[in-house]
Amino acid sequence: MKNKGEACYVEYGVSGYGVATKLLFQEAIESDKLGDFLKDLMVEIAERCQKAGAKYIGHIKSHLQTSQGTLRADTIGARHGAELHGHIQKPVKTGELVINSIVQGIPEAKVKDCTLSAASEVAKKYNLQIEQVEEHLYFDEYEYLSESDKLDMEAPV
Amino acid sequence: MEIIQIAGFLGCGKTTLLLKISGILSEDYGLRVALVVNEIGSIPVDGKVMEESGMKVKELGGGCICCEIAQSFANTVVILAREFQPDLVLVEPTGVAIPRQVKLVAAMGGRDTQVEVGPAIVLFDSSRPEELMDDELMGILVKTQLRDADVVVISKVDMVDRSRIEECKQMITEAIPKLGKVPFIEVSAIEGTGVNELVDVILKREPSG
Repeated sequence: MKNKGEACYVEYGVSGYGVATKLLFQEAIESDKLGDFLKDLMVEIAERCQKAGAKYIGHIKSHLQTSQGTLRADTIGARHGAELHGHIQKPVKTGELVINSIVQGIPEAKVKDCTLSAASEVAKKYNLQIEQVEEHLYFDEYEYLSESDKLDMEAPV
Repeated sequence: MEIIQIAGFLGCGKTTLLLKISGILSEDYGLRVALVVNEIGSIPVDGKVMEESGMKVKELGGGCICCEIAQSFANTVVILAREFQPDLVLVEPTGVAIPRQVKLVAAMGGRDTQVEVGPAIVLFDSSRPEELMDDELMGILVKTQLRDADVVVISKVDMVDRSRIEECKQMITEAIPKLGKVPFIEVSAIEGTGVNELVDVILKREPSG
């Protein structure tokens, strides 16, 4: 096993930032508008990272979970635009949004700044309120197992 | 239990393809399939998507399975074999992982179990070949990943024309001549192109198409 400083992604100058947020809307919003919001957000994060000096956008991904379905958007760079998948059946007033930004050429702190500032600005443009719930920088000390996972991963082998 | 990795650089379409393939293998062929996802960024996005598919998903964070958390991955292999007994484990490493390292770790986990380490399927994003190959630093990583491929998947072929696909193949085989001997499969996971061909490779069947 390697230490963080020796890990493959460090060697290649790859940095990342992940954030879980809660979205609140003053009025119920339909799928198309939320999809536009996510696509704009992905491209805005990519543009900010590139302006901040990122040589390469690995990927920027998002996942919006609501009571009426989920939407996912991602981009591999501003000039590629953003892809959108999923659908929300009925207009919703709230959702849980997760964003992961992985880029090469700028430090983690800058990736975080670009992600959060873009989220704030694009949310404002769409008249949405965004609240940060949880964050993690790239591969910090954290091991995630899904809640639905029944196996004991700490079991001795 | 066979372990097959769907590898390749960030953003090349690994998750979409993994979901497509795992659905076919479990629904059409009745195989017991487990997914292991090692995601960059500790707030999982891919895992959420996969969970929605109803598959058995193990998510590993806290590092890269090819180096930092190799032991966790090896443990996962053992526990999956012992408690879930899948026919097939499909592994999605991070987009920066080195496929041969992932194979080594899988084999390490398989020492005490009936595990076969299957092919490394490495994706190459046809929508940005120059970006992937020409950058001094990233180009080294992408070529290192491709060098370990037992099968090369030219991904996102719905986004490009035929000449672009051929350019991608040429670019890859010129950079890594030995890949001239491995299968190349053109895939659009979104449209389903080439997916059955890849399933045939995984099942070690004669091509159906």
